[in-house]
Amino acid sequence: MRLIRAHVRNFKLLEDVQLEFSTKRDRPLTVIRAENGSGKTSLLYAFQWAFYGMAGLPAVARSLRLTSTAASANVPTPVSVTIEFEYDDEYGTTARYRLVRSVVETPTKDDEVDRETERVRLLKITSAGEEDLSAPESWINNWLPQQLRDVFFTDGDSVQTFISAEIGERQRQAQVQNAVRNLLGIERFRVAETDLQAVFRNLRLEAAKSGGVDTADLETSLAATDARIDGLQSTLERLRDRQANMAGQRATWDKELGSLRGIGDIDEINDRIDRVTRGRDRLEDERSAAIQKMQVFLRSEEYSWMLVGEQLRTGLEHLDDLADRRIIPGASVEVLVDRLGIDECICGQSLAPGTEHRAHVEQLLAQQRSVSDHHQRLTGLSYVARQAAAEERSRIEAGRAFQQVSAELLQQFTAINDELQVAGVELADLERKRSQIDATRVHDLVARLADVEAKIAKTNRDVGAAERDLAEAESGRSEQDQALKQAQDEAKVSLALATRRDVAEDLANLATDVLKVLERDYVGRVSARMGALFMEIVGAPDKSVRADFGTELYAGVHFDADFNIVIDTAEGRRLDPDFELNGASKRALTLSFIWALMEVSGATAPRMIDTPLGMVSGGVKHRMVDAITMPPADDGPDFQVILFLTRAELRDVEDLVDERAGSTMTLSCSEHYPTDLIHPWHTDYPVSRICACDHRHSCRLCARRYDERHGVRFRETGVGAP
Amino acid sequence: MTLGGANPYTSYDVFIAADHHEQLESFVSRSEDERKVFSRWIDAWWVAMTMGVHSGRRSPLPRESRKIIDGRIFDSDPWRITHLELLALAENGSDALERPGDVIRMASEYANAGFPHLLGQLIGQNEPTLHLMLQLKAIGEDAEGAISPRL
Repeated sequence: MRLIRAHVRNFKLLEDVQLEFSTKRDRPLTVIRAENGSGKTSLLYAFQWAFYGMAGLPAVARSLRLTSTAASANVPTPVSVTIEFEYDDEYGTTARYRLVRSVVETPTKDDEVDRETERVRLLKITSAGEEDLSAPESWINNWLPQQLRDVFFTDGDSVQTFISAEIGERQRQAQVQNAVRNLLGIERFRVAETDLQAVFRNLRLEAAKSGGVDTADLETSLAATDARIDGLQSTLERLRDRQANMAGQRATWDKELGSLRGIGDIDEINDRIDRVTRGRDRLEDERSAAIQKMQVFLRSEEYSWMLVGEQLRTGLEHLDDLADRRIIPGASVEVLVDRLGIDECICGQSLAPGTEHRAHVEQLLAQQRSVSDHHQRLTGLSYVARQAAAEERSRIEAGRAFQQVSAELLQQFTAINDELQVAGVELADLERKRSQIDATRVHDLVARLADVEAKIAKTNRDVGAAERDLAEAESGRSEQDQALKQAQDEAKVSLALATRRDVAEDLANLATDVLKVLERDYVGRVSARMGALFMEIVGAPDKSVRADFGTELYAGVHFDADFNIVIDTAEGRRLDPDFELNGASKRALTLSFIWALMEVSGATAPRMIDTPLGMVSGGVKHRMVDAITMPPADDGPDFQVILFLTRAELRDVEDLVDERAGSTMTLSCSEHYPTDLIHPWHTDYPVSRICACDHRHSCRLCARRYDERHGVRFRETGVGAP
Repeated sequence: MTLGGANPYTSYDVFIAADHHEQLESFVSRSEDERKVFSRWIDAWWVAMTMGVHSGRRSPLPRESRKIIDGRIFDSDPWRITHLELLALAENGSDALERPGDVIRMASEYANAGFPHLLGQLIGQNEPTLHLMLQLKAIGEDAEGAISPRL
């Protein structure tokens, strides 16, 4: 199949995109230059959808709408992809066809779509006009088998599908085997071999019947055993598949659980959070209590002494002065009254009425009465103040004055605060860990693992039982076969029938042997070609390559008997393609496999690859593009390679594109203005459009900032951005 | 405590400037359940008064003033009467005690001068009690020796 042109309408942002593919034998390359987010993946999906419908899209894309999310609600939007191509049939006749797949989607208000039934038409284009072919999908599947979708349409991220263990070992082996069988025509031969086996069994039954009741019974038993063996083999295969799938699932869940548990055990973390929270709450209480002690202390006499002690001392000194001057304590009014009452002074002089001395004491009593309240007050103050000063002195001596106590309180507070900070940090750390663990997921994984373990154990027992049954049945079959042959000999089955039966048996056995040889031979050729291509790209015995690819040089690549891709190193090690190959090597290996498969099969089919050169640079990139765009040898089949490349991927391979590309276009998206696109498109909805710019030029539609950095020159085409 | 046990300030009210009152409200507990820096207005007033005395600054109360408590409050902490009167003696001599109203006025003026400094220590602090305590301790360290052994 050679693609000639395509027209995509309303598929995602590809509103109206027309593509022309190179069909020149000496220029097998078509380049669609597009930056990330320009619509490359949509274009790849558009082709897959056109050929295989929704079932042909990757699982992740099947549930998505085909139309742009910006399409108006409740307005039916026709989506279609038209692909014109040529196909050379087995007689060497080339015919031209047009495939049209279309559907109408009506976006609803909830961002959902109502999708009508898809329509697919395959038209054969002849000089007389166009002729609709019936069963178009069967034709397409015959020419471009859906099982090989990943061979024909690959994106950079899943280009490693064939070698990645992430999809499970058995599944990967089956995928490789499937690709080999389908593309090399072996699958058809396997069907023929099965048919021959059925013919032989029918003839054997007929011969047995003709030999009489005994042989017929023996044949019936043998047929029943064959059927039982077939059933057991199929059961065993199903069980082993199940076993492998469950083991793969267990490994995935185990890995996820391990990574979640690597953070810590959720229950233990919760316990620790509880403990630390309780400790923190206790510390908070202690902290509040310490603050409260400070508040109480701020109301204390000690505080007052601390701050205004100097002034208080001045007041005390004043009282001392009053005492020194005997103003306080003052003479007692009561004493003077008593002395006047007994007419005798305390000094012994008479205080008789009329005496001068009595007059003096009476004057003294009057004075004393007038100042008494004031002196009493000062005297009282003096007494209390001295007592208070003495108490403060005692506190200082006992280390209980403000300075000492406040220092203690602050120390206590600081210690509590430090502990609180530690608790806070610990709590934050634990909570961060807890937030990283999805507890529901952990419990779910634990439950799932327990369940799958139980199922694996049961399946292991079932496999063991099925193997025993099969061995028993095969042994019984051998005896029954022997017995039947003997009985038929004795019963004299007709010679003609026996001959037909024996010929059928020989043919069936021959077909089985040929199938094995074919498979071994083809796989061997694919393996050899894949190894050669891979080494051509990455295995040159040059030290610089070693730097590109890591520490070890590859010695070779081949398939083993189980369809595993095996990579040997010069040091005699075998590398795990998943973990011991870098991204560039993985891509090189997968592309080598696809190219080898296509070359050996002689199939003419497009190879459309989105962003194949991610993670690849330098000499390796050049060698890789060189290898996959090399025009076919004179006797080799045509091929087409359609690469979706970014400007960065095109860098350093421009010369190869100059030489090998028969068609180059550029796909851009309006959403990239003004961040990346230089010229506005003046559209009020997002859309991707294509222009005829090659890898060295840009126009008003596709010119981007930094184009100069990629050596891209602007050209006025007369066609402005829409 | 005075010898006679009587509180001469019972009939005098204690006022503070209205704007100080407004700013200080959030630092004084309104009930026993609250744990503010000061459990009573008198405690805040006293701290401000001592700060004013310590700084040696007095400032007359403005016309816009609010009564916070009456003089009976001093019965709950009689040592405050002693300290008030010693301060009055130190300031005005022995005649100062003859007019209790003057003692309260003197203390109120010191408090009025001390409030801005007190509020400065409280406002905007995460833990105002702690901050105030630290500030007072620092002042105390500077004034070490002010409390003489002669006391």
